[in-house]
Amino acid sequence: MIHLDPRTKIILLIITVIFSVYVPNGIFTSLWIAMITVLGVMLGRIKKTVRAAIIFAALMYIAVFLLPCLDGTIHTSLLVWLALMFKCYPGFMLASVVVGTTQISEFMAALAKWNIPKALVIPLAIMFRYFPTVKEDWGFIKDAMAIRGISASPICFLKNPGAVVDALYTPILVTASRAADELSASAISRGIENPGRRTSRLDIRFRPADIAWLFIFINALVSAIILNSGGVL
Amino acid sequence: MKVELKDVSFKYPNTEKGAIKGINLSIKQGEFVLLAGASGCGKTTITRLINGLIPGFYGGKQEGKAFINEKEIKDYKSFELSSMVGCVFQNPRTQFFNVDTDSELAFGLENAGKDRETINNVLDKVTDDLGIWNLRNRDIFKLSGGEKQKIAFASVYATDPDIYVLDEPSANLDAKGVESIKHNLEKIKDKGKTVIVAEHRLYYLKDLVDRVIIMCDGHIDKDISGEVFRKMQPKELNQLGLRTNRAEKVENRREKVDSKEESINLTLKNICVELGGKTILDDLNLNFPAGTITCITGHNGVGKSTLLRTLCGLIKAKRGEIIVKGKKCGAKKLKEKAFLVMQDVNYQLFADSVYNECSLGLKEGKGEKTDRALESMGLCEYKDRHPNTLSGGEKQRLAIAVSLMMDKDILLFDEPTSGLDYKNMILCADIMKKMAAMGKTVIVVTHDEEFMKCCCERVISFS
Repeated sequence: MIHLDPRTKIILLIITVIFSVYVPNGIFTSLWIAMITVLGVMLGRIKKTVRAAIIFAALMYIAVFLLPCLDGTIHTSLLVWLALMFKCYPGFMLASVVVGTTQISEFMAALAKWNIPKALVIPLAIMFRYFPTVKEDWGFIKDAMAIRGISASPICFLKNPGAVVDALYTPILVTASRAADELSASAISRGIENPGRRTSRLDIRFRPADIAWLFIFINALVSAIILNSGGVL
Repeated sequence: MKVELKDVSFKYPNTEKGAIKGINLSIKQGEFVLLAGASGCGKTTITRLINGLIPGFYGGKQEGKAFINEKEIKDYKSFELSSMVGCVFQNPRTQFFNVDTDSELAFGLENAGKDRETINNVLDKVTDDLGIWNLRNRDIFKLSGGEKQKIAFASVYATDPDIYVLDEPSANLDAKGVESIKHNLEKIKDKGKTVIVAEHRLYYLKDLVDRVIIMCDGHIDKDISGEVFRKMQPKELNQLGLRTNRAEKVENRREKVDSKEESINLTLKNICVELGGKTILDDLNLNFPAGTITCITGHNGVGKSTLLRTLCGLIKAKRGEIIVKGKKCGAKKLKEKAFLVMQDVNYQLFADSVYNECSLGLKEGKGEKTDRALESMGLCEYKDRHPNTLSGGEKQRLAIAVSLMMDKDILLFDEPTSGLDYKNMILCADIMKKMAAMGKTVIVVTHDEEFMKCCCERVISFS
């Protein structure tokens, strides 16, 4: 298992986005996913990364072998949907690896090293903190809806969209705004507004593994762009 | 460090609740002070004046002056204050900035810019001092409420402030969690720290307090010594609107319930429930008669909440039968018969007025029925208010009114008295008695022994 500097992860994410923008779907996308899979596994996020890779393989299989057998509207809509999926997949997959393997404090410390102002770092960190909260809230809200005889299923939504929307957004707004208040109060009372440089309990710096992975990604991006424009594939 | 309030008045923007008037208070270094009083009496406001969140964070209008070490609190920067005043808040879910415990413990030190070695040494020392090695390097979202509160306390302890301010730290904890908070408070008291606690549950602080300040409608009603407080009878405290200062022990009252067949409303036969591959409830057999209040108690994680969720059809039992009035019921049927009032009732209210909340989804004859339900909960005067503007106790009663509207026979409560003051606790107990008198089956999961003592006919202890 390796450990990467959060800054490296952010750069790898940017490289992946550039790749998605400049390189069309095809064999390179698959290779890129393979690369992310290796990275994810090495970072210790094994199960979820492998699962994401398998889902991608299944989609690829559909695109290559099943799609040509179809025609008409199904063919077109599936084609468009798959094209969109393949465009977004590398970015989302890597983002999920990054979020899953980076601690908030680590992330904040890394951004502090880049001298990014706190006004930007703190909201970003709170966003990180907020994802699991939403997941937790969602469980409670689903329960509350079921008790009142409202289900979040598509059929129930079509029958009574108003009730479902109310039952979803009112509790989310109320609990989220309260949580945001309490969270901020707690963070302020613990000195988050200190203008001095934030330190970290973790030793965050570029190591050989960071350089190796940056090298791999940059190389892969450059070769993909060159091979692609040269019309090799 | 000396804390001093001189003729301080404060009012929050847009609400009268929690306002204080002409408070004079002086707290010496090393004093352990309990702020007691009914909800909305202003005790939380005083804690916020001391930790600087008022007026800086909450806004509002302040008159008079508050000092720490002879310097006005509002002249300190928030991060200067944070090194002197450490805060533990009520809700364990929302005082975390990080997702893992280690980062959380280090948070204050990192903000203060301490170097890496110091941080890690302090972290290890704190872990030793408070005995929380089992909580190191864990996902905070997977901790119990009590464990979260331990981490919250430890992360304040790590920055070693001279003054600790705690706002209802026990509100969401079971007996074990309360015990561990008490233990931590003892530790800082011995270190000579100033401790200021605003609380409804008083019993666990009894032996620790040097001074008790009883507040009423925004002013100080009584300022008594710990000695006097320890000698007070629960009755006297109740008359002041306060909860008991004694640890109540509720014996296991699992007496034979009226065994006549027709009085049994709900029967569980050999119920097994698994969650995520783990067996939570194993071969459970229970009877619940109609018109009785049954309390279920036991430590966190023994499956009390799982039982409630099974009873209202949110989880399917793996094996066994649930029988309501002689008829076997699946999860779907149970959803029609049972209603759960959740611990955080905010998730359950979603209409734009109290009246609409009750009549939601009702087609005919809603007028009269709604009025009746609201009246029995004492909510008529709030008919047009937005549910969100109600107090905690009122929201809870609104949820019960909803259950009346839906004609549910089985009422389930998950920790209904967390964060309620004496008056609201009694009100809550009275309403449950009323529900039982209407022939409903009331099942309450609770840790609150004082509450069990005043309303519960039957106690089942889970282990």
